[in-house]
Amino acid sequence: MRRFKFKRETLLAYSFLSPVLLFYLIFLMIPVVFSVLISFTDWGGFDFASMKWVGLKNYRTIFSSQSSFLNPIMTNTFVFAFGGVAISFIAALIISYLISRMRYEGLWRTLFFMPAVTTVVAIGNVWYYMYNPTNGLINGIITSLGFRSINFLDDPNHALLSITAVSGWMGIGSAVLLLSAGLKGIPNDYYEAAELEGAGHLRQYTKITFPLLKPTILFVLITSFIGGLQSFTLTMVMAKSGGPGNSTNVGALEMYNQAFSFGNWGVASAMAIILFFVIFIITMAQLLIFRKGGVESY
Amino acid sequence: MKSNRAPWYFYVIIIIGSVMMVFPFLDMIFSSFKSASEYALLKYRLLPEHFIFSNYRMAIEELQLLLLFKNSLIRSVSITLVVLITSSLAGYVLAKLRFPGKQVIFSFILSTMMFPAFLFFIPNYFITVHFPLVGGNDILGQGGEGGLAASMLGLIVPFSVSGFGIFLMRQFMISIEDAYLEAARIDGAKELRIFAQIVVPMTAPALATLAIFEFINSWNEFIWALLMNSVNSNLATLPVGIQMLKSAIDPTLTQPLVMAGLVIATIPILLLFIFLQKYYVRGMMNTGLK
Amino acid sequence: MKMWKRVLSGSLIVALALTTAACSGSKDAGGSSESGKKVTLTLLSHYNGSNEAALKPYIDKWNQENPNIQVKMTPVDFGELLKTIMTKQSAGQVADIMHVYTLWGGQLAKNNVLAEAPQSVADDVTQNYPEAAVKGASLNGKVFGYPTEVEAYGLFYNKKLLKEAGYDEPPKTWDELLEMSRKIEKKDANGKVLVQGFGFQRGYAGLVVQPFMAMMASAGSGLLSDDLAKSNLDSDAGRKTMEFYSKVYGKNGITDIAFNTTKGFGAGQVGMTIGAGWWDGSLKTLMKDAYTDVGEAPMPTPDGGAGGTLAYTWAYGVNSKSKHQEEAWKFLQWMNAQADDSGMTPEGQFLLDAFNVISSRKTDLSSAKVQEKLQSSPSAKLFSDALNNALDEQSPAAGTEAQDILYKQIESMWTDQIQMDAALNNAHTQINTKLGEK
Repeated sequence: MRRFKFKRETLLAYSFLSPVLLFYLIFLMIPVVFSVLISFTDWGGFDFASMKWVGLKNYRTIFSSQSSFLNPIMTNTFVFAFGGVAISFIAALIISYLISRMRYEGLWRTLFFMPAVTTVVAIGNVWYYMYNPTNGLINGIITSLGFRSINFLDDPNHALLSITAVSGWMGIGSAVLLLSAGLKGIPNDYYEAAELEGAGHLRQYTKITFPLLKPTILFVLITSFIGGLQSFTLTMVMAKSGGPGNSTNVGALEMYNQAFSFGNWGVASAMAIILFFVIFIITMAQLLIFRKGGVESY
Repeated sequence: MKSNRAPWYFYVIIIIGSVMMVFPFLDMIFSSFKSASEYALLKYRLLPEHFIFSNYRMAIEELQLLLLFKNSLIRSVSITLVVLITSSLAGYVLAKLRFPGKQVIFSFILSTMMFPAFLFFIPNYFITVHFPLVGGNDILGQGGEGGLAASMLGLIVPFSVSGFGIFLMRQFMISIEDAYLEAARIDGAKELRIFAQIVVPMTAPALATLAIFEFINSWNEFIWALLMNSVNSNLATLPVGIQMLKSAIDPTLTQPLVMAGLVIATIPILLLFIFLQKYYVRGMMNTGLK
Repeated sequence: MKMWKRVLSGSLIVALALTTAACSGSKDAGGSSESGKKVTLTLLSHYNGSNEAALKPYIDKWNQENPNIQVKMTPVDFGELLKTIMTKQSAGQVADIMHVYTLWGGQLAKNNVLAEAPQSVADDVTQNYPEAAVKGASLNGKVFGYPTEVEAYGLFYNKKLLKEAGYDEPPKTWDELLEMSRKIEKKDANGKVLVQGFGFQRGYAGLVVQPFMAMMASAGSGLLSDDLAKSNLDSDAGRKTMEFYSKVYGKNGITDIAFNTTKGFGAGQVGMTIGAGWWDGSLKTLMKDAYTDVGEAPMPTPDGGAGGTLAYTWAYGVNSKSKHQEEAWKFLQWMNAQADDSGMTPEGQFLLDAFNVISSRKTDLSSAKVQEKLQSSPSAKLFSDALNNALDEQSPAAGTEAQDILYKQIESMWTDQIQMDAALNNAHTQINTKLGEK
């Protein structure tokens, strides 16, 4: 009897799970194997007959001294991911704390969340025009204050940071939401007690808020950093193929262009796999650090 | 509870911050009423010289807006519904049933969230267009006119399961008391009925959160839709159609139209979010995860 | 709250039914119609927006006259067209007729996308078009289709701004050009450019690299060797052109790269720039009355002597995988070679309507309407004449990549990331490597 029930439950479980498992087989397991295989070939993406096994040649091309993949493309990728996280995180840390003590918390949160529900195509285009050196909003303000206008997107010294700033701006809302959730978990008594002892806002923040918020903070940091390493839509909308030169080009965008613009599917797949390992190593390293720091739950 | 504890400078900082958030949206709206020659002017002005409404008419004509809107809507609604189904089924199984391999499957699903999407981009494109037995393909995926990409399926199927969705539903369902389910089982109810009549209604708040999340994400998704559009131009969604309107050769002439198109694409989803944000925010906060 | 739950659980079940319905419903949409002998040809081109509207009457006319061969336009923006051709091809969503930019020829040939033209078409093309156009529409010496937009590069200038600086004539040599532009340029106290003397248009690889090739041609050399095996950047012409480029933007530049030359010229704030013939039509629309200030001249040369320019070519070709190749050629012959009462081909009329550009086809050139146009519009005549001593844009299999390399090196030089010598050497060696690979 017991045995029968057990079997029935197993059968039921797997039949409920079957669409999900089938999906992962087709759109995740097979693709991974496929990607690894293509990365060792020279292939234009058309028929399989024209596929040529070339061993490690694609990887050698990517790591060769002539290649721009490691520098500047991968360097840009890290600057972009790290910069975006830093901007959105620091802003969110301040904003979530402030609005948690203010009236109309929901209203403020909605305002900061607006970019997160807007398509990147809109954000990229609007900022592209706000950055315009001749008649964009930002330079309008800068020049009316008497300064020289800045070539945000045309000067390779500013272009990457300009796009990174937009990415940070976009990310504030989600970070605020998560941090607000963390803040809600901190009992109000702590603050009341601290206030009775005469602690100011800054002191309350460093002594109570920050330590108790640590798990949420780490979670926000890790997920948005990984997200930043993979993202390329904003760069594509604002700087097309990552110009001027390669100064805003990021790894995933280069991979996309290699595959779909130049038809170098082998090289593109090799890039995807290299990027994957980079992200994998970073994730593992972060998990390790978290464990050591006493955050077990992630 | 939070009375007047916030000093005035809190408000000053937040209001300045909010202006920085809202301003680009205002700029987009006002720009959509400017003329092409006003774009070529050297001086920035927020408000247009004359409000030109014809940008909207032209954008709607040149964009085939109805088609784009229809595609975006069908896509977002379908993905949302399918994800709700797959997530709640899998979430239920992983939360409430005992069976061999459960732990492995759960860890696997968690790990899928760590995989970067672009790793699958190239092979998934290939699988989608050579999917067997759809869009005229034979059993080997050859000979057809684009496989899944021959129809809206190409925009939907590759998004039909969400690791995040499964995780969210499982977390929520774990808190359902086993006693409810046991009682129903003793009454002789079939498992599917228990699922549909007891479990699903109890998880309504989580489903609402997931639905909003999926709807917005699939409405805004760009890269995959762009690729599907190049295979089959009937599949253009709003973001893709608008980006296409922006002419690479002569951007000055098309820019105001692009802005008008963007207003049409973003304002409905913004309003939808503002209207439903209560459900979204509550759900996100309860799971503490995005 | 109860209502909520009902609605949700109900909709989940409806959803299941809906998805099944959606799956079965959409299958029909993908299938092709096979009613009788009627054939529908898809035509993939970069004519979108107003250009699409200009092309449509001709397509409609054909469709009306040929009920059994219907042509359906699929417009795609230029920036996406190559990617679209490639992805469509690999997905089996084959477009029967493709309007291709001949730079892509090598890449398309490598993947066997284009069909060879029938002998009658090939003969017609070689007899009726200028050499740069025939070369553009050929692969490995074999014609693959009809050249359409064959556009030469020239100098665009603003008569009013030149006059204000004391010049009545556009420059003949590169040095004159630089000297004049220094005089025309005006900056405010902060160094912000108010009026630009000379600037290059920027934004994507072709927009930067084509004028480069046009200047190199005016100095007497193509970008690549004739066998397409190697870069000519190390030649005298290559070095001179790169040197000229380094003098326009960057630390030693005469003007500021942030100033948008395309916009600025349209607003009457740029003295001179390089552009292709079609831009004239665009400026006319944009500038309205101020268009009378626009002047056009042949490319200046290093020493003021007679020199060449570059002409790029677009061409209609037929997909090698199309099931209706015969019908596709029939349509293309009508479109490109069959003159109506006015003596012009539909394509020739379209080019005139849409871009104010003169067709490069000889039969169109001799028609009354074109002759009249050449008399009345100096711009049309200038760009039409320029085709006679224009080099074609070479199209090796790695054509887009070679242009991309040169583009990125030029931009890096303009933004002071590298010196001129480095830009020249990098571009030269990297292009050679790419050409060797394929």
